Amino acid sequence: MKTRVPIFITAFVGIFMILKFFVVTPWVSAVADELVQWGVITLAFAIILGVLNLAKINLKAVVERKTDWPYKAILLFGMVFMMSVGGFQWHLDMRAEEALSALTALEASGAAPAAVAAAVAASGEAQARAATNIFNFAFTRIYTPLSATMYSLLAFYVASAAFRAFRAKNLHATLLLVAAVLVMIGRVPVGGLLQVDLSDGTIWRPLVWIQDWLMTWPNAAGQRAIQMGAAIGMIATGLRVIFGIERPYLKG
Amino acid sequence: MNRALTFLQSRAARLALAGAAIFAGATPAFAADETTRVLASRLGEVLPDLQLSDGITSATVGSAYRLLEDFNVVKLPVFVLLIFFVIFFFVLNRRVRKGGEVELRRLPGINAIEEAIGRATEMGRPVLFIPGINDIDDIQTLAGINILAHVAYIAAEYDTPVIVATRRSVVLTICEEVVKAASLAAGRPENYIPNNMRYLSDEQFAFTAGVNGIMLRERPASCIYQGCFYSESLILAETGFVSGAIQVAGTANVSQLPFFVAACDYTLIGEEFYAASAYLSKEPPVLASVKAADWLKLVIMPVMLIGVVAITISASLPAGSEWSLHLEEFVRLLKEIL
Repeated sequence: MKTRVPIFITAFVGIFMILKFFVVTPWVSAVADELVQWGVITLAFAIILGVLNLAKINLKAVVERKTDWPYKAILLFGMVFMMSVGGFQWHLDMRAEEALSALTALEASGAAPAAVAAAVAASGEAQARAATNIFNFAFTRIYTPLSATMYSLLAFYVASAAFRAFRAKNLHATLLLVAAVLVMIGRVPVGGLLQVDLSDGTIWRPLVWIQDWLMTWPNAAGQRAIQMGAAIGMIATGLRVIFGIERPYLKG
Repeated sequence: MNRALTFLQSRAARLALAGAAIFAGATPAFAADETTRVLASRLGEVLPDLQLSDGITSATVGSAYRLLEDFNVVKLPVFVLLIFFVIFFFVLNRRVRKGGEVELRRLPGINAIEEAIGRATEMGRPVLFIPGINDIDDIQTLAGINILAHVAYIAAEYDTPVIVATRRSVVLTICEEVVKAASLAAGRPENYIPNNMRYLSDEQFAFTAGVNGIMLRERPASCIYQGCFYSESLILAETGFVSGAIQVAGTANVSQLPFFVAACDYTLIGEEFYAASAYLSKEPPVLASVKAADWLKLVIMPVMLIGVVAITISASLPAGSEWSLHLEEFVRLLKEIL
């Protein structure tokens, strides 16, 4: 029972997803869309599990003063801080919305001008408070720059990885090096400076042409071969999971 | 029961007639546009006895097009390939169960996983496993978790701890269960350490920073990346390289493969990554499914070859010649069908 029910659910959902892909009957799409919604809701709730795991592991390390505990303390502080300011922001937004609704209701009911003026002031105050938005400040001024810093590290890592990959150790590596150099030069403005005037009056840029040829034909052919193999492998793995032949989600 | 049987028979008869009508008609039904389909369907209703060709009436053709209305005809080739795959799978599965052997090509990347765990054991350091950054609804994550089961089993046999870092909490829960079960199966339940199962962050680069921190502070001897990765692939692999770890990667994301190939010791490329769990498990149905995928490629390859030869000959002939036009039309039809 413990294994049969999950396998049945997987097969049921999987078969509906396959049906949705091939059949355009409305009721099939409706059921499949509903199942997708359930999946999205379930996954959204699972974030609680992640928060609990994060708190359990890092709190223990901080309390026991394990190696590098200050990093873990900063992580926990960041998590609690963002959750708090997010909650506070939500509260402020709600208050602003309530004040605006109250003002609209007063105006509609034809209340005394003094009462309307007081409601306008209250609403303005609530809107101003909501606009201070600490959550957005923390997100755009702290998280986004940090994230961009991580991403920009790629520039250095690409250089170091390319340096190792392009060592001409054997024939294959030499071919890779030559192709890479041609593509790199052909793709930058300096690559277009080498020009040949043809007899019919047109200009031929050999480096640009070579990089274009390399990317359009050999590179695209290689990529498509890998993609097609991967697609067939994906179908095989998907069917194995749907029909319960392979059950990674049930290994416990 | 009888009513159900009659219904199925009538459905089968309509399908057979539809097939006959499609092959007898000048325009293949799946290549016809929406207007043609609607017109054919209406014609069948209004003038059912109209003879379109030998033995084919408008009612038959209308019936065929009505059936096709429920079906996404653009995806018909995929459906046909799926049917082929299922047939191949059943044939091969039966053969394997009867004692037939299915031989799989040796994958150096898979052998390297055991090597990597052995190295971690010798050095007395942990193994770091990352099942990609996507959620459990991604097939690559499922394939990665399959490999994790084997990694955790071997690591438990060698008494080596496994650290699993995830970006999604559902993936974490499943990884916990997988590692726990593998350690138990290897006879070393104590090898499952709850604190080594870590959810880091849902944010892509916060997760990447977290994994880099684990690599540089805890110095795992081996880093195994199996799953769906995006731009963080090179950041992870290069940090792993700097930390001196032996690295084995596997992904079906074509754009990330060059990074892994450049920075890791071994890489499972595309299909190899999906076949890895079959290679490791050696279970008959799983092996049969991998072989069925190979057979499916044998079906696809001749069609591709015919198309390549046809378009190459067409391009070599003088532009606008009769044969060139015929071949171009043939390739166009082939593309439409496939």
